[in-house]
Amino acid sequence: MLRLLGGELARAAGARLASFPAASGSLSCARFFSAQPQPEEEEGGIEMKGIKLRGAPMYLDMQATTPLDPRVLDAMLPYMVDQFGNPHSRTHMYGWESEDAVEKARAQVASLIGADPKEIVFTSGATESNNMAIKGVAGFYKDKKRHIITTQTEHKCVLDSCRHLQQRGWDVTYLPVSKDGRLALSDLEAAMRPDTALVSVMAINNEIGVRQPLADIGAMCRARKVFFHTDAAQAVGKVPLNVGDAGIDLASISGHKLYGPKGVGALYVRRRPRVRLEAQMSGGGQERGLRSGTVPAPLVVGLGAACEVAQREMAADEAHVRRLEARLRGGITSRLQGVQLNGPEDLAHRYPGNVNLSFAYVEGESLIMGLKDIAVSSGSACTSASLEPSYVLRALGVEEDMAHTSIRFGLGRFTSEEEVDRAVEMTVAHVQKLRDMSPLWELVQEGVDLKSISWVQH
Amino acid sequence: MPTAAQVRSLMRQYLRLGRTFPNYNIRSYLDRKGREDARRWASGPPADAAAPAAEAAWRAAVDDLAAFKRQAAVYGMYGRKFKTVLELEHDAAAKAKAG
Repeated sequence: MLRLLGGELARAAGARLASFPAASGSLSCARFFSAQPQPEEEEGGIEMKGIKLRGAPMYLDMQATTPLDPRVLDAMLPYMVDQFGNPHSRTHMYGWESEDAVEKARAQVASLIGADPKEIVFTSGATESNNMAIKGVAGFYKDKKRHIITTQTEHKCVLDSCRHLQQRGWDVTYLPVSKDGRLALSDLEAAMRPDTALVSVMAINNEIGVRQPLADIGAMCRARKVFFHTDAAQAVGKVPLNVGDAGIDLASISGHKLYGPKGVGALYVRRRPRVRLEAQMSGGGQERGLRSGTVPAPLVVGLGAACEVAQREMAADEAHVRRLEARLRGGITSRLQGVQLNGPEDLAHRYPGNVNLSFAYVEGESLIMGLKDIAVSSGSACTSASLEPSYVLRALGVEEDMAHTSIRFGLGRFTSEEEVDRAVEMTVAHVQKLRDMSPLWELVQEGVDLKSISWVQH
Repeated sequence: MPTAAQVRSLMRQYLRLGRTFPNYNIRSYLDRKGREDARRWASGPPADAAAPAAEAAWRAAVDDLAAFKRQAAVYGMYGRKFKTVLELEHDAAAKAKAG
């Protein structure tokens, strides 16, 4: 790992050095020594990937995944023990009891989003749901329609599904977003064409937590008879979402973002007015022919239980997450200058459990690597292996240096106030330490505007 | 509808489980839930119109407690064998205080 890390960092260093040759010496020192503070010698320490940890880090990455709620596991276990039947077996008790459990779960999912149980199709997760919605609508309506609208800040699986269709002759409009990540309705209206089949806009962004104006988009789509799909993986179970009120025709749901199991999700498909899809999976015709393959009863039961718990606990969860957000953001911004919130300030437009902060005058990798006692990410988990700054932050127009130093703090049902307080202390201390070593920070303290410096290559 | 004594007893059980559950984050959640629910029920069970919802909420609170108790055993068997950073800090603080 050390070798690998060294290589990766050296590559990053090489890339950065080209742009900051004057500061190269001290910056690379900071990178190698500050990123890995002296490991504390303690009994029972853990070593993973060449990094010594004193204990399990505090988990503050709730957008990547959430822990399973114990109530969810409790609901699933019977279906992993005696009640193992195939829910599609029609000839014996094993099948019947599994089918009952699956149908109960379907009703629980539907109830959370204000849908009819018949409108819920179980899938393997939000990625499959997004693929199914976009490619499915495109496949069914390909004779009459040719155009899809989405935004630049969507999840990779939406963007990639759209690319796939582009290669097959579809036109795709990738709408830009404003500085705080919101989609302008005027842009959407201007992009609509008579042959537009689908608008796909996510409910809550996974990197910056921005909430899109779903109801307005839904109304606009309905007026023009265009289907509206929303990737609601980060929203369902966390904020109230009603498919009827918001005019949503298709909605993707993920199990493991709402304290349910991984490997299961759902797609809401409106029945009135009916949305037709071309199946993406051929086989035994399960899920009304839309998604063949045996429905994984234990996972689906878990998804249903997670939705049921989320519905009951939503108000308490939301109040808790709001308190934590104020504590985290207030704690960091009151003690550090040069901290920028990516995404909207106003909590009417942002999910408070997602706090994406950029720290000026530090280096991104050293920042994350030094915070080994907190499990956070620089952006989406899917792209966390790359050193490229996030495309979402780039679409927002965040400057290159700030995009490199973003940290996404994810808060949720099982995050404690104490964890947030310690995360604030650790982040503040670490950023201060990195800045104390940084020649750039020294210049800033002397009142030099970094943008006025012209770096010379030599 | 539960009596005031039943409510008190349930909340005490939540708080007790909030001290003994094998996982730090779930302990903190149970503690919070116990306190929040106790506050919610402190004013007594609501009458007439809200009664069915309150009845359902009470049943859910009882069922949840039973599930958490069962899962304490599962976490005891399959939970992580080493502590979290915060637990280690608590232990160190307790040791410093004692010694």
